[in-house]
Amino acid sequence: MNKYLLKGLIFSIPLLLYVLIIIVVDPYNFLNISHVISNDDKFRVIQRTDESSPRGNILWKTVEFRRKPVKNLIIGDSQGRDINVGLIRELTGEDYYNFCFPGASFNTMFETFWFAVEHVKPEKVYFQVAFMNYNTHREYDLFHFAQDYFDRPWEYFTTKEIFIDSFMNLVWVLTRNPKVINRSYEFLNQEELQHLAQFRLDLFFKKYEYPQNYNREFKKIKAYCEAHGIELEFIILPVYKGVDEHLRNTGLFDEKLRFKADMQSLGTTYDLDRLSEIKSERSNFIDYFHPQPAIMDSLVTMLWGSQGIIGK
Amino acid sequence: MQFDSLYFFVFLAVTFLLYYRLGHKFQQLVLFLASVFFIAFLSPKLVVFTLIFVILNYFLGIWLQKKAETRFRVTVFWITIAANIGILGFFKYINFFFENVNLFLSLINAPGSVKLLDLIIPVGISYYTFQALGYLIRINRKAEKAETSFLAFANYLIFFPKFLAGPVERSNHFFPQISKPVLFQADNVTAGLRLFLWGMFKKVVIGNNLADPVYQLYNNIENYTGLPLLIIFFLQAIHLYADFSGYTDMALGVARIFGIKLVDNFNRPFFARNVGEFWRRWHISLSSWCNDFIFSPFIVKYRKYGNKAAIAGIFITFYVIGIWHGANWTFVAVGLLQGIAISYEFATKRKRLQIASRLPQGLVTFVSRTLTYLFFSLTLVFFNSQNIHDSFYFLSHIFSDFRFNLSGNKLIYDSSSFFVAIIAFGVIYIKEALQEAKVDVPGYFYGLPRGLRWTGYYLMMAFVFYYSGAGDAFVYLQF
Repeated sequence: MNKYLLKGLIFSIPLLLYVLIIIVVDPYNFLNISHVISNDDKFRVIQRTDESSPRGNILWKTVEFRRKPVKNLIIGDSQGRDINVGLIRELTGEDYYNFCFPGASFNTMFETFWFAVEHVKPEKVYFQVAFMNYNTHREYDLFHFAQDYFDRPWEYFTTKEIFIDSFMNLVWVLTRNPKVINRSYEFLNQEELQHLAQFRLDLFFKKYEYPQNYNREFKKIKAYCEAHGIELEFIILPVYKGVDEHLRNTGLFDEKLRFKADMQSLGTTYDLDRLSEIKSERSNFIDYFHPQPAIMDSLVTMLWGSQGIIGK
Repeated sequence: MQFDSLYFFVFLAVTFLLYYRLGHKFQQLVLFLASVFFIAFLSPKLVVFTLIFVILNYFLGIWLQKKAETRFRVTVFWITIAANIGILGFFKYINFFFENVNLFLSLINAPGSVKLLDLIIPVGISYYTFQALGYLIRINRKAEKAETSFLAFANYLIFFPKFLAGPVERSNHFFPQISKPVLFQADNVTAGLRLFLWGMFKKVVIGNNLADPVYQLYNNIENYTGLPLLIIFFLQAIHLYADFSGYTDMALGVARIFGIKLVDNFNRPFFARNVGEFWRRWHISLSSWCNDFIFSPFIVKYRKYGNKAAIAGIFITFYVIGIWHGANWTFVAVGLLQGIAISYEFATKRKRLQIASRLPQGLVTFVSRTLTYLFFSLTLVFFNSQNIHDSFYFLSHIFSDFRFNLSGNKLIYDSSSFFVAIIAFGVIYIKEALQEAKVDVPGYFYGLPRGLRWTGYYLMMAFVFYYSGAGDAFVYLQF
């Protein structure tokens, strides 16, 4: 039997090698043993596709936050992903953590909030909220992409996603081929982006139903924040005016106003979607929903700068 | 704890080491405790239920044995049968019965209704109840004696590889194996692991990848017409075969690691040339059980009625096979259709053979296999539908409103996985075709140099790894 077990061990060598690769590459610093590949590279590889970006950002950020919690949080979706916390630090001297995930629904944001308060007692929490997700038909939760690994850590070695991420990290580091990391929608040409924008308008607004549950959950969060002395505010980022035109054409513009009113009823809301000089220019946006990084920096300055509106 | 989970692999490794390291005296105990742990992992309440079930049947068997030579034998026998059917009927069929009573009451505008019971059907109950029944019938027939070793008997009913979804084991096949010490044999373990890997490949790469479109369609059936229905009509048999035979191979493989050969469930069913032959190749452990304990005794008892008895026996047998799958009229319809087909085959056998003898053999084989496959696919429409209404919707819309854009119909979300599943089934079909032609395909593979064999195993493992995760529940766990 011992001989047989030895044979089994030899057979398992490729499997052990595989485990070793995961340990060495560790695409999300989940194990935090080896740092052969830099964090910049790993984070860039996560953003490579529209499939890897949502799940990757969630796992990356939750792992990072769990290890080094920050007391000021910005929780949101892909719109808020480019909110530059380094710039906020320069402007305010305070550390913020950007918990905005591509593809995040409101449920994902709620889960993120409850996850964060398990690890730190926050001082300020900003919810970056968007009408595009304020819809019962967009009730899903991406947070399991992180929670699954926290609940069952061995899955870090047994899921194909981690294997593919590790492999792509190796390919990127060894080849530096931009095609490895540039396959997200952000790298589409103008015409393709236009097509995507139309597709997303349909995706977000084809079926609309007012989400009762979100308001209820926000009220729970508000009560929690009040009970624990946490400052809770809301940010609405601008979208291209084409979105509003589409909403008017489909009879949903009033629902958007209702969404804004809901947010305002919950707490201080910075509605940057009123800034017509930004909204009217297509080039200010990647697609219809996502402001360009430079525009985002100017919005951050507008909010947190010395002349900023936050705290005024 | 599913067979393809990491928990199971750890559990299996620990059980394996204990089984062979602790010595022969403890082997039955190790398997019993492992089975109890396996069930407890599913639900602690289920352990209580199954242990009561095992103890009850253990003593029923001994009681029946004691009364074998007395005038009470028949009465005792029917008490033991009624006890088992009563338990199965209570958990599995009582609410179905009440629902139909309520339906009847509403049809005749009678006031009131029967309240449905809040029951959870114990996992695997159909499998171990049939095993218990088979054992008791054999004692009554004096074909075997009651098992006095509690551990051997408990393992017969709840041995963990077959606990969830069979095969429906026979006592005369199982007891001789479990009762003797099992020496470690590398060949057994290797054969078991190979079979397990092969089953997992079928289940994960084909079964799981086809499960998405099949369930997508049956769960939203009224969203579909024409082509999607036609595609699923042809694919659902492949999905079920990959899922169930994959599970069976895994179960047989695990048992083999412990030196126990369970009865097989499949013998290349898609090469059957008629429905009767199909049932000798598909879910063999259930169909042979029904043949031995329902059909054969029935036609022997009523042989004076000749063919009428045979046809009645066919319908009763397939009614039981149908309803065994679950309390739903769709399963009754499956049984009824099978009964009609086999009765037709029985009644027209001579005529059909005459026609076939005038045609080229290859053509006869091809047409026969195709018709058998089509008929099985037709019955699967009922098998997979949530109710009879959905089945009729499926059949009445299959040739209407054809739309060729499948992605537009949102049936196949992941086309690459779908096509990998089809190609993998193609490989399995070719292997089975060669085996049907008496080519020893596994023998050829095992004769290859170790490097090539191991590469084959690694490739299969890579496919399993890549496609694991989606649609992973086994279809036959629900029965």
